[in-house]
Formats: sequence, structure tokens, C-alpha cells
Amino acid sequence: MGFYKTEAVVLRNRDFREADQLVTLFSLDYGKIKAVARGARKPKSRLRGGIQAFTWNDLMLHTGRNLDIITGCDIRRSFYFREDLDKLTNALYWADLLERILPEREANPALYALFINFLQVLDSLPDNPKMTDDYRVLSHLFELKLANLAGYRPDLNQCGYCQKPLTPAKGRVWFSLGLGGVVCPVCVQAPEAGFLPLSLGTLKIMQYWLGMPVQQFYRLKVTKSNRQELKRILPAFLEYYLEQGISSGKLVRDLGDNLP
Amino acid sequence: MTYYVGPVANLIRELHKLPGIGPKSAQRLAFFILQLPVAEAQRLAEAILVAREKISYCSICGNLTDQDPCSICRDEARNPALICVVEQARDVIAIEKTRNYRGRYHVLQGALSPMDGIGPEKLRITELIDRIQNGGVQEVILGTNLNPEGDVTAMYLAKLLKPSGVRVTRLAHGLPVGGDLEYADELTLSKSLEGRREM
Ligand SMILES: [Zn+2]
Ligand SMILES: [Zn+2]
Repeated sequence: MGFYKTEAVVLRNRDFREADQLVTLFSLDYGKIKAVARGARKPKSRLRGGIQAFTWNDLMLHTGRNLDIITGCDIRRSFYFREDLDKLTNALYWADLLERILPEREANPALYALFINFLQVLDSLPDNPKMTDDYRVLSHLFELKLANLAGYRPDLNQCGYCQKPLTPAKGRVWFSLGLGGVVCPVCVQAPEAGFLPLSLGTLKIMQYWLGMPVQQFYRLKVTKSNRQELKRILPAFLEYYLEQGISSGKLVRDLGDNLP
Repeated sequence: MTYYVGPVANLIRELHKLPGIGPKSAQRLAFFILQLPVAEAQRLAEAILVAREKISYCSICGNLTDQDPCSICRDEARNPALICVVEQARDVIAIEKTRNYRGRYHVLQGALSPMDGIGPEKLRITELIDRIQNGGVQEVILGTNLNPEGDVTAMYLAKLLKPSGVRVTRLAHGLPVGGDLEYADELTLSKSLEGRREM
């Protein structure tokens, strides 16, 4: 392919070899790319600024034998939240989810746009240490929208067993990890492994969220009990489909909980 | 690696475990070691063993030392009211080289990293809190790296230490020496503007 250009956000960078950095990018045109920024650890490097985590760039790359090489960057803006623990840790959690869920070199422009959108919303929130709960809601919204755009849209409208539409009369349904959606209380009556209780209130939030623009996330009231259900269901759902444990989400939530 | 007889394969495998050593470098190092005179190979092996046996972590600051407490923690001339928190023992060396710091250290032995599953319990944070609760500490300088892990660690510690009443500061993010202004990224530049000093 030789030289090519793309717009991208840096998900992560690590020290690599003597003076280089290995950068994981989420790019608009090629999805996830791992590329080397040569000499980027030297103070004079022109690439240094552009390859920091959460920098939104126009990049120039060159095809390499194993890894592509970043040859130039033009920074649009940085979403690196150096002054706010909640913003930075939640953004790190999203980047970790993307790194795990994105296949290499498969464009997903809708998911790319969603990620930029989430970073912009995060940026627009005031720096306020008392808003930890809002960040958590935003992260659960990210989990659901990510699942949807990565090809794991949960079925929230009809029972995965009897296929009947869920009637809003019954107080509680189940979320089945294996079926990837809801199950009615007629088909499953008692708790079973892999079936998580889901109240109709939380179900409505999830249904609404799937179609809601990210910017409106604060408009919907999410109670503490809704949040607890979302916390039990959404991370487990992602772990089930990715077939791997994802410790970053819990760690980020615990960091907030442990603070005075 | 199956092409090599047992001991050679074993040596390559062990070298390959070292950080930054890929399979090719491990092979190169192994062949270098194999052509050394036996006495020299012995010196290398002994140096590794002796260092590993004699060197441990200081029970106060967590720095590498051959005596416990380490020479910095025992040095009466160093200000015990000032603690600089760093990620690794090699960061202590870096700051010591400036000859500009006369306080003491606390080595966390890592940094918080949600992506790698490293939480507060895997770092020497309880030991730091204990040192502060024992009294006499007036200022904690957060000298963790300027990357996501280092910044998360610094912000977390700042919040954690706030109720104790000690002054908590962060190393200034400045321009690198020899760095041209025009190549500095916006974050570095804005940080160095904020951290400017009277002249
Ligand atoms: Zn049913
Ligand atoms: Zn010590």
C-alpha cells in the first residue's frame, strides 16, 4: 500500500525497542491499526505529541513488513484528561474495550464516530469530583452502544424463547447472556445461571439508549438500582461475547469507591 | 528453538524472558555467552546471583538496597518531612542525578493501570499512608510518569492523601531540554506556560 493517510484516535501507546513507541490506533478508514512511531521517545521527535493516548489526529503512515510506520501527524485535538481522575479512567476503560473488541484492519466508521462523540461529551462535562455517578452511567451507555455497533446488538424487545413481545405488565424479566437478550418471566420462572434479573425500568432505559444520541445521556433519570442492574448486565454481556474477562471496568469503578 | 540441544535451548529461553529481548536477540546473546571463556561466564552468572541475593527492597521506601533501611532512609541530612513518590527504583536514580533533591523517596513499584489489571493493592500505597500517618511528613511530591498510568496514579494519590492534611505537589510538566518550541505538543506547551516561574 506504501504511504497512506487516515484520521485516527490513539487508544494506547507503549515503549517499544530503544527509542520507539508502539501505538494502537482506532482509525476511520482502517479500524484498529498497530503502528510504530520511530524515535518518538526522543524529546525532539515531531511525532511525540500526536501519539499520546486520546489524541485525535490526521496521520500519515507507511506500510511496513510487520507493523506499519507512522510518518507524520497533524493533531486535531487532544482528549487526554490530565486533570480529572474520573474522566481519564473512564476514557481508559473505553479504550481498553475498543482494543479488545475491534478486529485489526476492519473499518467501522459508525463506531469510530461514536467514540469521538463520547470523548466530546466527556470533555464537555464540568470537572467535578462529585459527578462519579454520571461517569458511570456514561460508561454503561458506552458498553451498550459499543456492543450494538460491534455486532452484538442485544434483543430487548421480544423474549428469546417464545418470541412474544414483552408485555410491560410484569415487573421483572431476565437478561440472558447466552441468548443475548431478554427472556420473559413465563419462559424462565426461577433464577438460573446465565439469566440476570432485569427490571422493566432498567429495560426501558436500555431500549431508549439504543436509539438515543450520546449528547442526551443526562436527560434520562437513572436511579441507583437501575445503575446496579446495568453494572451487573452490561459488562458481563461484553465479557460473554468477547470470551474474556475484562478487569478494567471494575478497577475503574473501584478506584472511585476507594476514595474518601 | 527445538533445533538446539537442551542446554542451549534452555539458555535462549531464559534470556528471552528478559524485557526487550526478542527471540533473535536471545539467540545472539546465547551464542555470545557460549563463546566466552568459562571463567568469564562464571563471573556473569555469579554477578547475577550475588546481586539477586544481596539486593532487596528497603522496608521503608521500597528502593533497591543492600542494607535495610537503605542509605537514603538512614541519611540524617536528608529531610524526612519531604517524600518524593516515584514508580520505580530507576526513577530514584534519575532524580538523584540532578543533585537537587534533599528529601526522601517512596517507590510504588509500579503504577495504576486499569488496562493491565493493576489496582492500588498491587502497589506500595498502604506503606505510603502508614509513613504519613506516623507523622512528620509535610509534603509529598508526586513524581510518577507523565503518561496515563502515571497521571492516574498521581491523581488517585492526591485524592487519597488530601484528608491527611499534608501538602501534595506534582512535578511540573515542562519542555524537554533542547526541545524546540514549535515541535512541542499543545499539552506540554500549555503545561509549561502554567508552570512558568518568576525570573
Ligand atoms: Zn418467553
Ligand atoms: Zn529506603
